[in-house]
Amino acid sequence: MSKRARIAVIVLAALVAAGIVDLPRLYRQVVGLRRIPVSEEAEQHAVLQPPVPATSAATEPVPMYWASASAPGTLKATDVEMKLSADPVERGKQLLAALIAGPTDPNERTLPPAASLLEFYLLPEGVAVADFSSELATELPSGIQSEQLAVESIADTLAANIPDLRRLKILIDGQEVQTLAGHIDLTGYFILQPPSADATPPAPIHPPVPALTGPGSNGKLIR
Amino acid sequence: MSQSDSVMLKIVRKTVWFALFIALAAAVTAFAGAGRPIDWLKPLEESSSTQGSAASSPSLPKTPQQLAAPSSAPRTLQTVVLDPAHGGTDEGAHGAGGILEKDVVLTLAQAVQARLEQMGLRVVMTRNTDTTLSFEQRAAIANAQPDAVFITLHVGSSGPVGSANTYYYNFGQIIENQSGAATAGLVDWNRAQIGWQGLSQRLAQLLQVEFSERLRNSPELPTGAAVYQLREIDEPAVAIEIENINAPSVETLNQLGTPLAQAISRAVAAFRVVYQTGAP
Repeated sequence: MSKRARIAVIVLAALVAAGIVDLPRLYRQVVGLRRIPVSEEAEQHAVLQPPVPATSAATEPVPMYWASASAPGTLKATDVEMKLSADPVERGKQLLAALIAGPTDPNERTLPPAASLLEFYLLPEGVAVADFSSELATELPSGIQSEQLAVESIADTLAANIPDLRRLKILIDGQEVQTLAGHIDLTGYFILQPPSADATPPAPIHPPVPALTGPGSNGKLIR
Repeated sequence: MSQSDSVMLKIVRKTVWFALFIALAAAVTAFAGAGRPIDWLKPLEESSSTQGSAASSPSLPKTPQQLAAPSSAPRTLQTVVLDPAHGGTDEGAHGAGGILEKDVVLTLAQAVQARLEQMGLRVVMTRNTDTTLSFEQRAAIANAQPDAVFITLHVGSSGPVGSANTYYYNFGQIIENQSGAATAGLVDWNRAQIGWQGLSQRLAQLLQVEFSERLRNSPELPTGAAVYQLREIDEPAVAIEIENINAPSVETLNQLGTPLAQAISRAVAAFRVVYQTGAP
């Protein structure tokens, strides 16, 4: 056998030996992949809504605004014990995730459970941008009131729990859309005002109060 | 063939090729023109054939981008534009047993139309058939009517069955940073409602008081909300949402036509006085 042939045989033998040594590790990786019992939906959800770190040492009562079962067409505040992050962006993500997760009474739900918060940003001058998956629009019960309550619950919950927020922009799948689900205008920014202490939604103006002086909701559209 | 004949033949050939080239270019141009987005006014002309009475066929606005600002001069309310929401491919809310919002609102609107016409008011329907209309098309029909109010009818899916809620557009605090170049005395098409917000709110109040008396579980006060359809309307405009599409039967909803028509006719009659003075 020539010298070159011997070198080639040695190199090949070394490669085969390395492969045999590495075989158990490859086997473990394959078995590990097979063991992940994550449904496709749960996997997507995990990607869309990664766990948000909570930095508070203890839980605190956090007012969440869901629909009132006793007064149709209005919101009411429900305190939920949560550990909220001190970081306003993380805090916003926590709040909206909890809002989507919903109240104990499904009749008080304002956002569809299939919806996901894709991203939450804070811009200068107190501008919040909440980007939701398309299910927020497609799975919402149809109607002006349903859409209005959805927007108000987002606006009021953020305004009540994140200081210095002034405006809210709602995006769907990263895009500005004309309406939420055919009715409520999403082309502008909603003015955020902390909800009143009694947690009842703002009353429309009583006649004959002059027009243009009062809002019908905390979430008022500005352009 | 002589040399002159040969030259003539060449000239004729070149002329024929040139003519063919011109014809081809013209055909290509015409084809490309057909593929352009349709002018937004064109479907309005077609949709005007869906109007209620011939006398109520609306004329079309000349300037789709901007509108004249509302005048404060005394005026007389003459026309009610009724807009059965959704329609055509847009079915709106779906109820049990195949109830569709687009069908219910058309039935209710026709009941209201009959009542208002009995009062001597001119009624323009944005649709009288199962037709698809965009927000802009509905707004164009409404904005072409002088001395009119706009009422869009919806059916919701969350409130007590038989109740009704009225909405007016609440612009709230406006930041004047518009996309288009502002023209003196004109307002942008998609902000046409801004000059009418006070009167719209007053109309909504009058309507909601009537609903609270005639339709059980209806609140006494209207709601300010950013209902997109309303923002393009250049006259007092409100949205009425009847509850709810999950009623036991379509008859339950259709029966609301009579009290709804009574409530709307009474509110519109009261609003005529408000409208004449021009003050909300």
